[in-house]
Parts: sequence; C-alpha cells; structure tokens
Amino acid sequence: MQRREDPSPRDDAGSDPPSAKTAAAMGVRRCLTLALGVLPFGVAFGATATELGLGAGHSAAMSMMIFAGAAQMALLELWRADASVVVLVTVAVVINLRLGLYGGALAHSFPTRSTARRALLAYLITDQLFATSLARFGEPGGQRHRVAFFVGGGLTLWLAWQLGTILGATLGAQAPPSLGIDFVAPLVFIALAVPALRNRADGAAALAAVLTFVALPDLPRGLPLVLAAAVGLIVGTVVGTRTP
Amino acid sequence: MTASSPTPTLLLTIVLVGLATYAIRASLFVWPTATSSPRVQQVLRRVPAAILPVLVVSTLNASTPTALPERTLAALAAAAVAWRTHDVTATLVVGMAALWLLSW
Repeated sequence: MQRREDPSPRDDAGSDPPSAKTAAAMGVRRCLTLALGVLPFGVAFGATATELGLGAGHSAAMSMMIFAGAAQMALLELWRADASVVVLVTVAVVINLRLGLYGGALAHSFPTRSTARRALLAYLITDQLFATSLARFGEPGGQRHRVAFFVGGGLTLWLAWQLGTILGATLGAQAPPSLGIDFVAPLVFIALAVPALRNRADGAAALAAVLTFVALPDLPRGLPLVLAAAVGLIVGTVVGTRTP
Repeated sequence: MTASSPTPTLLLTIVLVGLATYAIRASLFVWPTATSSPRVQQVLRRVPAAILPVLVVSTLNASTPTALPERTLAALAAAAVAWRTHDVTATLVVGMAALWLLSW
C-alpha cells in the first residue's frame, strides 16, 4: 500500500520501444527504485514472521501465494491475537480489494484477448506496478509492447518482495531479542498508515477506528480490530460524502 | 511475543487468502465489466485509513509494558518521518534507530 510520487517526466518518456525486450528493460528500470523500497518492507515482514514463530518456508509461502505486503502483515498481527480463519481471511480480503479496482482499470490497457495470458498477468498486480504501468501507458510511445513492460516491471517488484522475505526470515532468526525486532511491525504499519491519511474523511475514519479499538473491552481473537475497522469505515464514508 | 508454532489454521488461511487475493486480482482484469458503483468505491477508499492505524496501536500494545515509553517516542519519530517523506525505508530506519538510541 505504498503511495509513490509518480509520474514525473522521464528521460525515456517519449520513446517507442522497438522490441518487447526493450520494453521489458524499461519496465525493469522504472520499477527498480520502487523495488529497492519493497525490499526492506519484505525484510520487515520476514523478520516479523520469524519473531512470531513462523519458519522461512511459511513466510516464503505467504509472500508467493498472497504477494500483498499490508495484508500479509495484518495476517501476522491477527494470527498473534489468535484470530479465527474467518476473521483472518475477511480482513486480508478487505485490505486487498483495491487490487481488483486496479485490475479493472488496467484491463482495457491490454489488447490481448487470451484469457490464459490475462490470468497470468493478473498475478503481478500491485500498487506500485499499477501506478507505474498507468503512467507509462499514458505516455507517447506507451501503446506498444505493454505486456513486456508490465512483466519486466512486475517481476522486478516480485523478486524484491520474495528476496526481502527470505532475507528477513533468515536474518530475523539470528537476531538477538534485545534488538527489538518485533518493533518493526508497528513501524511498517506507521509507514503505511501515515500516507493513507490524505483528507478529512481518512482522518475521521482513522480516529473513529482507533478510539473504538482502545475503548473496546478485551474481546478475543481479532474481534476488536474488525469492529474498530467497521466503525472507522462507516464514519469515514459518512464524512466522505459530506465533505467535498 | 508468542513463539507458537504454525498451526493448520495458519496454513489453511494462507491458502485461502492466496486464492481469494488472486481471484480479486484476476476477476476485473480478465473479465472487465462496468466499474463498480461509486458508492462501493467510496467505501473502499476509506479502507486503508480505517485499518492501518488500528494495526499500529495493536502491534504497539503487544510490546512489553516496560518498553512502551521508548517505543511510543520512537513511533512518533517514525510517524514524523513518514509524514515528511512517505518513504517506508526511511521510516523503518529512523524508527529502529530512535528505539536503539532511547533504549541505550
């Protein structure tokens, strides 16, 4: 859920890539800086997972099967709170619903009618790839070799996430407890939460959710988070419809 | 921090969330229909703000009580960096550095 400033005018903005390979390379280049930001996030996830008792295999499985940082971190926290499968899956799904919107927005950018190919491409959809691709496809010269660009950039980001996860899981296993590695979890959420507060409606949602969360008695198994988030969503939506 | 070993629940969850997330990604991409209603979009737009700050509090609460004062201060420093830079790496680095300095 990173909000990255994009797009600024690029040196290669007007270029019409002569081949798929060039387009793919462009995708890699455009996503490289973002990938360098994804890597520490992945390390944080792997380290947090290890801190909670998960092996590197489980962390890797999560990063490969789910491939969504904020949802994965939320799963870890809810699992620590002994949440039920229903709560775990529901929260993760709600966090990831925006990926569907990205898919809908990107769908028209790809002329390919092959369902199999679209199905494969869909796996790579993330916040960063969505933003980068949308920016690129709007540039002059951005009509051709879009699949190659998408795959180049998408794989770069994917690799960074997997690599970070494995690094974090293995390094985290060796880190002494006095290092306070478990503090990484709230830090990651701070890094994601602060940019998410863009306007009054967001602020209202956050405030309502946090107040609800701290006010709730010791409910078990992830319920406080779900209830707090629901209250936040309601309040935020109401404020959102009332403010311009 | 709990050090419980992963249960079948977690494994089942990983598989379910993985399938669901992929289904979310693929659905509107493979079968683009009319975009979802403005009302749905309006609610979805609030999801990060409604969930992420609560997770900040939840994870901070999990700290050992004696460590909480330093952690709260370090968290505030990290939040300030996040506000200025919107940079995940910078936030992590400053937050951990602040914690180590305060815990010294």
